[in-house]
Amino acid sequence: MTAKPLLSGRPLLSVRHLKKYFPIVRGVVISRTVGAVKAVDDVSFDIQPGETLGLVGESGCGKSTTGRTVLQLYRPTSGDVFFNGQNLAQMDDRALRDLRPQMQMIFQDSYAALNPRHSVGKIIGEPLVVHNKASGQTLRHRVAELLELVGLNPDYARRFPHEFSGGQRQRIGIARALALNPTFVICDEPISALDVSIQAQVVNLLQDLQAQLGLTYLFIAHDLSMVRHISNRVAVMYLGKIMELASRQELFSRPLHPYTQSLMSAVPIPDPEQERQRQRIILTGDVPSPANPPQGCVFHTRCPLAEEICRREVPTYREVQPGHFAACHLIDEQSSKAER
Amino acid sequence: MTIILEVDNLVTRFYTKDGVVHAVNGVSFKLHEGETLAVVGESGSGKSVSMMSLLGLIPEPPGKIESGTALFGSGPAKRDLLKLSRAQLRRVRGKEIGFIFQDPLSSLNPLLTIGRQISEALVEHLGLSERAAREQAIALLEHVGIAGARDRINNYPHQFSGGMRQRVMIAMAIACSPKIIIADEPTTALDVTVQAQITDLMARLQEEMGIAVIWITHDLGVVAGIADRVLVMYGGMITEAANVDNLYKRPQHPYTIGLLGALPRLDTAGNGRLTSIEGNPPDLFSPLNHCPFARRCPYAFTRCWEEIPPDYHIGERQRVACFIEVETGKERP
Repeated sequence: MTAKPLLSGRPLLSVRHLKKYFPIVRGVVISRTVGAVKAVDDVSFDIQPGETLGLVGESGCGKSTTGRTVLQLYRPTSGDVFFNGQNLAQMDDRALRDLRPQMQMIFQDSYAALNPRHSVGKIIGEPLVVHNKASGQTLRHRVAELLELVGLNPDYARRFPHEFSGGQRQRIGIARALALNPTFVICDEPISALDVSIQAQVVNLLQDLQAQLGLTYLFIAHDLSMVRHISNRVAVMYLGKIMELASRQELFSRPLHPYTQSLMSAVPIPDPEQERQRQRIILTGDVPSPANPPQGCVFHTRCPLAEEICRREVPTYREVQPGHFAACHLIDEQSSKAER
Repeated sequence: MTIILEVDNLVTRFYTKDGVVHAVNGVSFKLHEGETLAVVGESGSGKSVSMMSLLGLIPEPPGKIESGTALFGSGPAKRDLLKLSRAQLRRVRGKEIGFIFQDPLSSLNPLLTIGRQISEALVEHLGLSERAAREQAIALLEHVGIAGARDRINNYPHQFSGGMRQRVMIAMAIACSPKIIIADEPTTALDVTVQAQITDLMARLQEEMGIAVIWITHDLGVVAGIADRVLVMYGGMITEAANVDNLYKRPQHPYTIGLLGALPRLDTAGNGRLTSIEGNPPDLFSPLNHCPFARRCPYAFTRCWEEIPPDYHIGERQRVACFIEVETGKERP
């Protein structure tokens, strides 16, 4: 495969065959590498300007590592990441530093991400100072503006992180990420640690900011319902690989991959009547270790439909229908056999 | 149906160096034999503290159960859990009331094999011999779906995955055939596919053994699938109690309505905005002398700031602590 874009139109971000392996090292004095955790294993996708791509999967599937490797917070083992046509994977740290203002990240644990000894003003203003974008009066002004943007009182600049609730701290994290006017923001489980009533506030804020500032999001989460709510397109990951990627409408109305189907059937719906009528596909067992993934299709050990070929051969990730990608031997391009 | 637990006006506070935390402010409810009662609320709502108070699992000090009764059992065996001595409570816990926590790794002893930990309860509460307890432990592990139980019984907790550890916890909880299991966020730390396995297992066991389950959770999706009745808690109070269908179809409390609106659903289009509940969770340091939700409630009026709303009953199966009838926007008679 070449680096041709997966969708028409010019993507803001193109990820091609991205791999991130972490070495497993044994021995303290004489250490040697005995294996690798294939956290991200040959992942390709595009993100169009202004859209939200949801990246969903269970713990350990590599969704967060994918996000960090895209931003070059981890350097990839191999593969390319084109941002506005420039290959981030080939850039040195200096060149990357100049691009960083355009690409920002919002983290799950706002408490760990905010320095407890710094005032909110200092935390939000820090990126501006580091990149020499503002100082003195302009800086204070911009910080106040950012606080207002995320729905906080500008006077909060003098307070410290511990004085805020979880939802407010996440707003501070968002303000900091927006300080340098980025075009692309990776939201890594931004609402997972928050209470339901606060989750909705933060998600609404993220959507408002996207509309207002024309942001492009990679939204990483394990909550399929929330990903459905916020994304234009959705990618489903399992053990370091993308199993399926399609538009929201397409993925949720016609999931083709058996993993996507079982994942959806496992998500509870807040409606007792529906819950009683649902036929669940209950997967057996747990997700295998990414240090020792199964041969062939990584999902075959839990797949209710697995056949001989699934144990032998790794399925190619391919476009099974226009704009609908999947990696499964059992999906027939035309009739979609695995579909139910 | 027989009532096996009747809690009345439970009040629990914590006396910390920063002030008094009003964690539970008068909680009353009944639990029937064999039913699943879900207790839903956000962090700080008092859902865990109220249930842990019943079992004597609140650290005292700083915690203190200020008032209340919790009548457990039926007929002549009925007794008030809150009046039992520590030794008496210990005999109730694990034997008549089992419990399952969110994080099995921190409730299992890492230095003892799984078999040892299960048999311990069987030896202590049921007076089985070591050998009989061991056989019983193997049977229990098989019952909760652990393959190769005879070998796994010699494993330590870290050798199990998260989902398997939760199965071990469930095996321990049902070991002495309790009447009630209190499950505190038992699936919250698990992945969604494993969560489905666990809720399935619990439903099966409950049906087989006729155990009543108090299922504490923040997840209204899970509740819809497992519960018979639901208590919604906010600010240490039960704001609404209803059977599961009524709660989702005709929620009465503005907080319940807000919570349901804030949830994105997998089965709907997902367009438009979520209705968020503005504001922040209540401050538990101040004593409760008005509706805890008043500050965030779109319907709040003067009275909500002046007194704690009493329970209004709507039919036989629903009660709500709110002055306002949301459908009409009028004050309840």
